[in-house]
Amino acid sequence: FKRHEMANLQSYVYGKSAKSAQSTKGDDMSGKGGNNDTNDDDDEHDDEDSAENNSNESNDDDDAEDMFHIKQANVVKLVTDSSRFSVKLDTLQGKWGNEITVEALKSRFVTGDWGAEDAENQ
Amino acid sequence: MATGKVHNFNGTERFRQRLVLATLSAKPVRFENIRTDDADAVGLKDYEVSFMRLIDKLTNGSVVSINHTGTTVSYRPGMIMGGKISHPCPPSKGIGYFLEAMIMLAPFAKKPLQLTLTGITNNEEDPSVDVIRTVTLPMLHQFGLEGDVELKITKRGAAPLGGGEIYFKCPTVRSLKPIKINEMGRVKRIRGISFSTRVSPQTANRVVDAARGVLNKLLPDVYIYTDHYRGAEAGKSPGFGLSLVAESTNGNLCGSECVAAPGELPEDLGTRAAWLILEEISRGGCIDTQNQALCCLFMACNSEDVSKVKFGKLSSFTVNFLRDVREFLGVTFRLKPDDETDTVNVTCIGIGYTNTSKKMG
Repeated sequence: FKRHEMANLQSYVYGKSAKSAQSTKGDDMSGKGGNNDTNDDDDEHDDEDSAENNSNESNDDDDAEDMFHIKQANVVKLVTDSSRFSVKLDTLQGKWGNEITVEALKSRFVTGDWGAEDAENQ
Repeated sequence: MATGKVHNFNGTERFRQRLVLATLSAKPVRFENIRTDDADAVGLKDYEVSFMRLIDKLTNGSVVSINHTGTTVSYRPGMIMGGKISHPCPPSKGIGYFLEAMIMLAPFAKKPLQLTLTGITNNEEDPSVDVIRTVTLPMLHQFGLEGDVELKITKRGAAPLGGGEIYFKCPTVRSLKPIKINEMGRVKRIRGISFSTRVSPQTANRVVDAARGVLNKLLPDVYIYTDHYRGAEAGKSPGFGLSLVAESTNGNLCGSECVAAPGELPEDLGTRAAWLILEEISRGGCIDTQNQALCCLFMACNSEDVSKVKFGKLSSFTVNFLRDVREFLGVTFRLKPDDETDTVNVTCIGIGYTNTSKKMG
């Protein structure tokens, strides 16, 4: 993340209102709905706004996600309803087919002989 | 039964996540204008209907209504019951699509869930049962889910016809514990499962050799099991795939998985899966990308204390899920990117969600 992006990640995910959110804590749910309002008609106006936001969401997301490197060009666009992580073969090959990139990742691994880790623990 | 404000949505985007969150928060939802602009496939897809049936089986007192064209769905959640459930999953989606949602709900059920699902165990779209078993389920223990969490793959079913079967058992919990995971640690071992169905048993070995060829340059401790299915246990379609799990010195797990595309060579698949686990490791999160959303949900639902986890880059799925969590549970996460490691520190205070239906032991 670049610095200007870091400051905006919260806003990107939650919108501008996130800045005014004072608490990270939610409503007290206790397993039941927090809103006891049974009149759905009163909620229609809010719901329309919500639906409108949802319908516009995907277009806005495309630009914003590029900006935040969340939706990267190299990440396979799977169905939106899946958590599965995948990356296009070309991108994987370009990155990890390169010995230098692989070498740079060595610091993330425990190195040494077979069983060295067990010996250390003993 | 839920009687609060109805959350209206346009289309079925994030259908599954929203139904799960609606069930947990006991808030009714309505999906409108479902694929009304698609003349060839207006309304709900078969897997969406199947998912609603599964939710209906899991809960008691839920009210689902679908209009004649399938373009509008209303769901008023009931109580999560759990118990013994069997459900056939349609071939248009993998078992992982259904199972992942059940994992989100099962801990909050009245009775321990004993779920049998049939269908496709491995495909290229949905989380496979292997990674759910080896990466997702161990994560549940960190949230205080005690007892036997079990996932047994009784039959393997490759796409497109499936024929697989799994058994999932999950205990209930009264409330979840907060977690704090800030350091990934270094990867100390990689394990994997190379499965094959209705192809030569040698295929799985070729996949393993290719994957080891990449991974052994970085780590000696790589062991990949081969799992060849034949006869009735092999499902209806030929296929093979590889799932890998990297375990760090801090006990964190991250996984990757690949299933062979038509015509793909075993060697290519093995290499692709190995590269994918390297990509996941390079992201540096303590929880892997696939499980970010589940982790966020349990962080939001746990006791009224701070949970803090370091993720790699957030996926689009996670970003959308965070928005839905705020909408249904009212929890806003604090997201603080770490520019040195390209990771994101995710913090929230749980809502103190209590499983009131769980019987006291």
